This record gives sequence, C-alpha cells and structure tokens, in this order.
Amino acid sequence: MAGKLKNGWKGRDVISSLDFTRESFELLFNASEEFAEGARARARARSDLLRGKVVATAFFEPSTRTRLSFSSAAAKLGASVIDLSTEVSSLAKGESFSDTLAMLDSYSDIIVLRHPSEGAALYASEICKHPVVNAGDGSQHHPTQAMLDLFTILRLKGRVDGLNYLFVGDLRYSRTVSSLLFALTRYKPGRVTLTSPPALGLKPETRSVLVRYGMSVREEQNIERSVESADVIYVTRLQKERIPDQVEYQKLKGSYRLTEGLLEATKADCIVMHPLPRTEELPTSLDASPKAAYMRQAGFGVPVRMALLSLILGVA
Amino acid sequence: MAKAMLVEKIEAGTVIDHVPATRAPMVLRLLGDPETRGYTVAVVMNAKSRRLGQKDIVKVEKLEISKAQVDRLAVIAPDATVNRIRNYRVVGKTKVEPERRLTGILRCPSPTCISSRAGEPVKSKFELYTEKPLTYACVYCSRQLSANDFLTQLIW
Ligand SMILES: [Zn+2]
Repeated sequence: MAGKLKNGWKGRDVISSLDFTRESFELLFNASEEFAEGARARARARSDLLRGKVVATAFFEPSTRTRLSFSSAAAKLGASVIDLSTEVSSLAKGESFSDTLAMLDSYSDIIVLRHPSEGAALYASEICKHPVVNAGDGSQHHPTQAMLDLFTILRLKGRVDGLNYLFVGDLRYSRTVSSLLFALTRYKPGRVTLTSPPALGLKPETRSVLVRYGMSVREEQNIERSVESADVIYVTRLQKERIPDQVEYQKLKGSYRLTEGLLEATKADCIVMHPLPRTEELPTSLDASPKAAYMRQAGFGVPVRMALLSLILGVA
Repeated sequence: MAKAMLVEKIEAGTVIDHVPATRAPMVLRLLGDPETRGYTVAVVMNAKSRRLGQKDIVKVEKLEISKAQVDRLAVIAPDATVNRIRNYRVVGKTKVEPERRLTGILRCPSPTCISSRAGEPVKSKFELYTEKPLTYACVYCSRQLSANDFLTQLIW
C-alpha cells in the first residue's frame, strides 16, 4: 500500500494521514520551519505567496481553532478566504452535500472541509476538481492535526523515532488520536501505550489498521504506571458530541484526568500535548509546567497549515 | 430420484453450482437480475450436495457472465463454481475470487458514514481487506464487514 503513495504535494487531496509517506511529511515540516516564528518567517509571509487564490472553508460542525488557523494561514499568505460555515443553515433547507461542494469547487482553488460524517472528505474529493483538505470527518481522520502534532514533537523533542508515546483519554471517538497513530506508522516509535476508560478504547478498525502497518500498541489501564516511561503524553477530551448515549456520557465524564501528581511522576523531559479545546482532563494548574506543550502545539497550527496550503497550491 | 427434479440441460449460457442453500436469489441479484431482462432462468434450491449438504444451482440460458461478475459472488457464494456452457457442454469452469472493490453491492452499517446519508447521490464502496477470512472495509469510514454481515448488508 505505502509503496504506491507519492511524496509530492502539488494538487493533492489531504484525506487521511495514511495517504502520506514519511518523505511527504518531511517536505511539509521543512516548509513549516520557514513559516514558524522568526524574522525569516515574517519576510516569507509578506511575500503574498497565495495572492489571487481563493481558499474555501466549509465547516459543517462547530470549530474555532482549526477553522481560524486555516483562515489565518491563508490570510498571511495573501489568499482570500470564503467561509461557508455561517451559511450552513441554508443547507438544512435541503440542498445536498454534493451540490454544495460542487458550488464551492467552482468558487475556490482549494476546499478545507469539516463534517460530522466519516468519509465526507473522501466523498468531497470525488466531487471536486480542486484539492480537498480534510479538517476532520466524524471520528475518523484529522490529518492536518496529526501533521502539526508531529511537527510539535520534532520541534520540542528533536525526533519522532524511538520515543515512547502515551495516549490518554477518549481514544474511541477522538479523530486526533487515530490520525496521529496512523501518522506514526510512517516512523519508528518506541513503546506506544493507550490508557483509557474501557468503554473508550481504540476502535477495532483503527487497531486493525495499526496491526496491518506493523505497529504494536499496548493497553495499560493504570495511569500511574503508564505515565512513568512516556516521552510524549497525548491527552484528549471526552468527545461528548460523538457519544451516542448521554447517560453513558455522564458516567464517563471526569473518568480520567492528568493531575499534578501524575505530571511529577513523568520523566523530566516529557512533554504533554492536547489538541484543545480541553475540559476537565487537563487542569489549568499544569499550564505553568515546562512539560506543558499544548499551547506551543496550538501555535504550530498556523505555520504548518501555511506550508500545507503553499505546497498543495504549488507555490512553496 | 432428486435428479428427475433437476431442470434439463441448457444449450448455452451459465450454470452456477455449489451455491449455499437458499442463496440463489442473491446470486441472481449479483448477476444484475437477468430474470427481469428476459433471460430464461432455472433455479434449484436445497438440492443434495456431498460437499455442502444442501446447495442451490442457478442456470441462466444464453447469458455469459464476466470474471468481475463471477468474483462479486464471493460475498455470498465463495465456493461456487461457474460453468460456461456451449452446445450442451461445459467449455469453461471458473472459481470465485474476491473482487478488489465492490461498488453499490454492500450497504455500510455505520449511521455516521457519509455513504449512509439519505438524499445524497453517493454509492457505497468497499475494498477487499483480508482474503482469509474474507473481509471488506468501507472506503469511506473503514468499517469492516465479514461473511455473516454480507448477507444482511447486501443491497437488493
Ligand atoms: Zn462506511
């Protein structure tokens, strides 16, 4: 499967982390470096790389961070942004998703899409002539988050290979977790450990994909034990909107939490990541710790998406 | 004798043997419902079989089916043999090999999959995931289906 993947970015859709090789990720991260903070970045950003291009953002599900970071990335490069999100209500009046996508395709050069249904981005890419970027579809894929997560790990830890990863929280419905796990199959991670309430374990489909790519993950219910050897701890919130049963949600609410005590038990150079927004699983009392990497992680969203847009639109 | 019940030999066309008992109608469905297109069709259901105990047999006169159609049968009749008949003689035997991709054949059971969305002109697409045991995965949501699921998810 991986053998057939191409490394280049120009004109391509971004649907799943599994569509990319390690080489494509590295091309992206090299480009992202140039857009990350610093004088050189400002010079590059001023150059209006995407002048005359139209980036459409179509969010069929609430999002602030991802939508704004795409808009910001596009604006910094001189592109115009058209946003469907505020118009979503007209969609409720009966226009099909495919008709809406065909319209957006005729108005823009690239479409950034978020949708509550799994497969929406792939389906959109079958409809649209222009590239489609998946900004989250259902509980399955969120590839650009995985890319900025990898970039964060590279920046803060200097490498992705050989580190021990611990995923904590709602691993069943979190698309950021499955997307990062899929992306890690392109690397040689050390131990990958999953700690979640039993009802929120990794979906069998996700696990089977990991097995297929030769990545072994182990489950450890005891969080005290699992934090000890981690180099990277990735925490996710309970995906309230995807848990079908609200009685179940109330039971799971507050069932896991990264406390100060747990943070103290981690390695000295361990980093804690979180795709944000957070709820009670990640108390604000941890923010002052040098191990707290989630704000820096969020900050990398814009440079990575600047690199992504320029590579796809063929100007980087 | 059971033999007497079996329909007479056909001059030309296709005989699908070793179909699991009672699945003959599904075979016809996967062949594109030749009975609705004027073809003469003979179906034997629950015939005695040494191999399967009971089996179905489907004969369609004058119809020759493509390899892709043969392979589509994998989801309901993986052990079927497909005989091509000319001049009352078997001139070719084909075994079923699972198709790489099934379009519009199986319905994805996930309610949150885009292919389940009502009012959307989207065709279900499944890709071969493993051959032994036979499983297919939804191209859109990765949901995997195995042998028992194929029967309930077949789109009629
Ligand atoms: Zn599906």
